[in-house]
Amino acid sequence: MNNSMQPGSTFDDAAEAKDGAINYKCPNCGAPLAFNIEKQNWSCDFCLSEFSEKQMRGMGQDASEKTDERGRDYTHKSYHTEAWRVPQGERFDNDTQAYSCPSCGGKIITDRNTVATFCPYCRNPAVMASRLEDERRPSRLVPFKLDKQHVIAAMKNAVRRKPLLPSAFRRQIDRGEVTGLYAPYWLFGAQAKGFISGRGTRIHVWRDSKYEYTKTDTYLVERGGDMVYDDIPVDGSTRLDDGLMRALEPFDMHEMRDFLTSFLSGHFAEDYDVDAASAADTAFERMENYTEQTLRGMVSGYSGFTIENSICRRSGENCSYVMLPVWLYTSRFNGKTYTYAMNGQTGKLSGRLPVSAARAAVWFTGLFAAISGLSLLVGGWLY
Amino acid sequence: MKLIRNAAFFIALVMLITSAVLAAPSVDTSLRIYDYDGLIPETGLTALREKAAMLSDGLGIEFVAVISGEGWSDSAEQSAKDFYIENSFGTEPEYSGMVLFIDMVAREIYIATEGSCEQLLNAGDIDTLLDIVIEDLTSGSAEYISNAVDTYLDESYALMSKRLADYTSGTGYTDPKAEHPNYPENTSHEKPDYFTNLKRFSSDNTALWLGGSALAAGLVVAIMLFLNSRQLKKVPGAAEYIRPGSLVQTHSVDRFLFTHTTRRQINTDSNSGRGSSGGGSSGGRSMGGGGKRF
Repeated sequence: MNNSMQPGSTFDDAAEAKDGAINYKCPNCGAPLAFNIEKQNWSCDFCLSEFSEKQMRGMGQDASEKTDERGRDYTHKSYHTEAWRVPQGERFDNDTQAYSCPSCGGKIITDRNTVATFCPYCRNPAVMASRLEDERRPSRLVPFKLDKQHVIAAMKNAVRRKPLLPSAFRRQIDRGEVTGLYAPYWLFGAQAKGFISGRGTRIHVWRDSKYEYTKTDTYLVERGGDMVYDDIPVDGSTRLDDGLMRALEPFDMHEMRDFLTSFLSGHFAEDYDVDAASAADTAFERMENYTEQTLRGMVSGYSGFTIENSICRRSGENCSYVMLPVWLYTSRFNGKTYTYAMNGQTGKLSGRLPVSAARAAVWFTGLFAAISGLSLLVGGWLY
Repeated sequence: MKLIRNAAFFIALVMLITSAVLAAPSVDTSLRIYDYDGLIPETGLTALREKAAMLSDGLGIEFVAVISGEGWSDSAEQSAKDFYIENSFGTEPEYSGMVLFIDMVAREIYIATEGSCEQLLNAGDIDTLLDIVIEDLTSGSAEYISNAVDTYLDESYALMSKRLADYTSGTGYTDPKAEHPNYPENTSHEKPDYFTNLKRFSSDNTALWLGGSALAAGLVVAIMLFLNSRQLKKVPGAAEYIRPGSLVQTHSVDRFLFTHTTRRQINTDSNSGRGSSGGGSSGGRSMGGGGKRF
């Protein structure tokens, strides 16, 4: 059913409300159009039409390659903090904003960071295109590769062979809420020059008939190196747990596509609320740690090595704003909400599983009884 | 066919006799005191043997002493254990008893213990016995060997009597007095050395065993908790974000600064203690004990 678009029809037909909310509609039948993860194209569930990325990009208002419709370059901005400053108060007077659904006219209430959601009345996907302008428009995006079923499967796999996991939690895995989200990320790159110095020791032990000798040779060890970092991701949302998101890495950035608003159709998406300057601190700290870690890996042949001095100088810093696919899985258990995240591209899962105190106690008691009994047998009766 | 049957019978007979000969003790085990260096006068040897027999019968524990001469190639420890085990000394079922081996060539003595002696005498006890015996051996007396063996018999008997009494009062151990009329009266109720009987799960060390079991169980549960909560927290390393081929080492220095040497004395002159087992001893039995040079 691919390429079934009727001659003359375009995505300019996408319904857009005056306030900037967009429903992508099938040019053939007018039904909502959403990105199909399995087929990696846009499918209409009603007339079964399918549209490729090229068609979407060539026909519609998403005709941006590396530039937006106004010809501005959004890729790899040079590192100037001022250029990344969020235009405060330009569009958001309050934390919430109301949009009209282009399909049914119902009110879609969103917070200031939501850029893609669903109409609560007709369930049609809606993209707040007006929030994706200027500095707010991501330069690239990694589309979802894994669908909702993979999340459930990954969760089921994660709770296998976990003896301390409450069995009730295991049983309700299928009932968890799964949400697909394009999460805002900043990607940082830079050239780094690193240097470390410290003390390395080599220990030699030998003995004669009376004494054991230990000879410790101490060396001054220095290593230096150059390296280039690419695409270190830092999530740009305060609502997403940093540890949870960090554990989702790595994403395969080679599968990045130039941003197309219609990719967001059918998923939730958020705009950043952590600006690039703030995210840069995290990224550069990671670069310094990585540099030290890499240089330390160049030290070999010592029994021990302690770093006393570590320097990392950066140059040619660059940054880009992208969206990365994340599945969020939430489950209520014992009055507490457990949230897990899955990389929508690689399937890597992160989160913290609950622990059953009762099970831990049973295991402890059983093990204690078994070990004591064995000790009694071996140490007493059978001796 | 008949030839084969006769040959098989002959071979079986030879094997039976050989094993019987090998299994049989090579010494008269009733003597208990053996002087292979001829250092103890005959009268003194007889008196010591009578005393050893009386004390052994009195406690139901065999006290043996061996004075070696030329031709004993093994160490004092190995010789003591082999002599005791191969000649089937000891009171069954645990072959309880002890042997003092005096190696006059290597100037070394060793006390090997088995059964109740191994269980009840700790490293400190063996050490004390060794010191007392060495005192006689180095006294310069004309009868230093006789005196040393005599002292060994007296002190070993006294110590074992005390330990048996302690153990009996502490754990309900079978009262040797009931079976051995010569068992001396002992009113001491001193508890046995706490760690001596550690390997037994008894009322004396129950708390320690339970504590150890709880610790082990807690450790296993802690590991399970860690595995449960580890929860795919692995974050990628530097290699994920360094552009392939961009890493260049620009500086490398390994400069020697100084050296420092320490030495620690190896404790070779005393290996007293019950930890040494009867490596190489026959019959699959193991013995405790300790030894010293003099």
